[in-house]
Amino acid sequence: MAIYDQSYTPWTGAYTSRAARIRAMIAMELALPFRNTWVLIVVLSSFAIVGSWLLVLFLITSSQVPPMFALGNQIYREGFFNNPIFSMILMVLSATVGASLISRDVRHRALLMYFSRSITRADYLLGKFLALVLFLLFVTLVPGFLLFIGQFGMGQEHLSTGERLGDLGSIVLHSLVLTVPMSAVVLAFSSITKRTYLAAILWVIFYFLSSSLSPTLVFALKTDWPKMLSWQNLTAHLGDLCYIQRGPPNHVLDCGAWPPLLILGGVTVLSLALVWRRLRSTETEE
Amino acid sequence: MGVIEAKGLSKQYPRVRALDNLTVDVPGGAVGLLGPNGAGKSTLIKILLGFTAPSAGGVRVLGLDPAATPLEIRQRVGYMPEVESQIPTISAVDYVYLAARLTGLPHTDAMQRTHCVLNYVGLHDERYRKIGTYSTGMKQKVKFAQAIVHHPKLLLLDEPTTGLDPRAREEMLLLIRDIAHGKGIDVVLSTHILHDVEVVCEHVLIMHRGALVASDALSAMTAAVDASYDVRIKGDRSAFLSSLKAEGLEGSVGDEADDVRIAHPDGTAPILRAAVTSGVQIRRLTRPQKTLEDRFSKIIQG
Repeated sequence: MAIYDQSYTPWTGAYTSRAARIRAMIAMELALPFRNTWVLIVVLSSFAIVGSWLLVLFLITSSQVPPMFALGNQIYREGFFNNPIFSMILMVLSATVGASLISRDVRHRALLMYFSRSITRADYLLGKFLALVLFLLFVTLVPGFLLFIGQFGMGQEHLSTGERLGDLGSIVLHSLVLTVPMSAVVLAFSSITKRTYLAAILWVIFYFLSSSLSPTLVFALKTDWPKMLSWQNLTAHLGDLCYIQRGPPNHVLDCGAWPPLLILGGVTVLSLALVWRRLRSTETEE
Repeated sequence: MGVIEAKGLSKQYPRVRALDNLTVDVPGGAVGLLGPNGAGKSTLIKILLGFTAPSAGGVRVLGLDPAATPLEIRQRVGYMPEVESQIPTISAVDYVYLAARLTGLPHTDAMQRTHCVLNYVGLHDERYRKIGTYSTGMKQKVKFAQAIVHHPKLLLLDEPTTGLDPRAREEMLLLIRDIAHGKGIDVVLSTHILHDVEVVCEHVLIMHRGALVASDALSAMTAAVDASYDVRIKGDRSAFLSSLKAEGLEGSVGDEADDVRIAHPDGTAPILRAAVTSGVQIRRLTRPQKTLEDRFSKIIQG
């Protein structure tokens, strides 16, 4: 055995908790996208939107009559989270990062490695899901907080501390509305195929189909309920309801919080159930 | 107590019975699990790791029940699957580190162990490259490294030399032998390559059609066929045979023209005396050995 390093020593430490093992998986999955130049460019573009708004806020600080968009919390809602460009960025990021999360492991049979370690199927699913949610939250929350700081420093409204904190909480809630269902659906697509590009394409088709089908049906059926078929409408409406409205409400749907909450919640649960089922069958096949 | 104890273990898939009332007590050390394709070796490993539950019977690995405590077992058992199971877009360091963390090693220990085992298997600067760029031999080493990163008590190796060239194969066998005999880790080597078992193991289990058909020490399996000798001579063979007869021995013609097989001699002295008497030169004097292959073929065909 002369050719090998003989410094091998046995390990005799204490094992970490299951939570720590899941955190380790999340940390690895979170680190990987940031090594990809293209992903970084797309991430930076979401910061560019906020940067633009901060510049606008700076430029209007001396304005006697602040424009409408700088009042209330419209700048968060309409200016950033429900901004069509940002929605597109989020959709692209979830496709590029999320589509590979499970399909890659199935394609390369890495599930064998995962499940031969001290984690359960539920741990694996939770780790992957949280990794994607946290990655998308980075893209929504961090720019959202920057915008909050900008609004706090340069905004011309005199708001109470309670209102400020309310806005902060609303930003967190709106981010969760955008990222949680999206992560679940993307993971579901990632679990049904070994091909990452196919999972990404399926998600993009789903996203655009829901957006295009909705107005078509509204026009054809002369009724409003098909608006709820649009992913963007659902998240935008529920996101708007996260804020304590100051200024004109701009609701997308003519309903309260429950219908979109139930639809998005149902889609999330069903998607995770599908992933669970796929993992179980794949695990048995392996 | 053995490292693995199975009693009446059966596994029924919809169309095939993979394990059929398997009862086995696997001792410590290096154990070869032999069997043709479809013998049930991989199913047994799946059950041992808690991937799938048996249809009947019970099994204990290191005293633990895989169905009840799979996570505890996986902390004590290392597994090197036959198929490639690496993520090609990450480096060997990331991959082995992830395996260590998922087993429950803290961050610092995991990183330290990762480099320790990668040094051990002989992956140096290349450990920072993406696994997708590795040769088959290097990928096998990464698989081996992830299996031992947490210093398991028991290492399950499923066809570890598949696809390797002769040099890489010898390196892998050296590693397995060292880990089994020098590092205090019990090894179960599942393979259909008999040579690998002969090089590494001291105990052999042979499975066939889901059942255990032989379990013995390698030395016993390859022991001398009987108390006979094979002699290669140079000289008059018939004179030698006559001299053997005079010594009270029964000689028969061997495989080659100059070979003589002598049954039941009382040591080598009468053979040497017969050679002197008949004036032949003895070129070789050996006890015929059974190979593992002989034994394996006999069991599988019988």
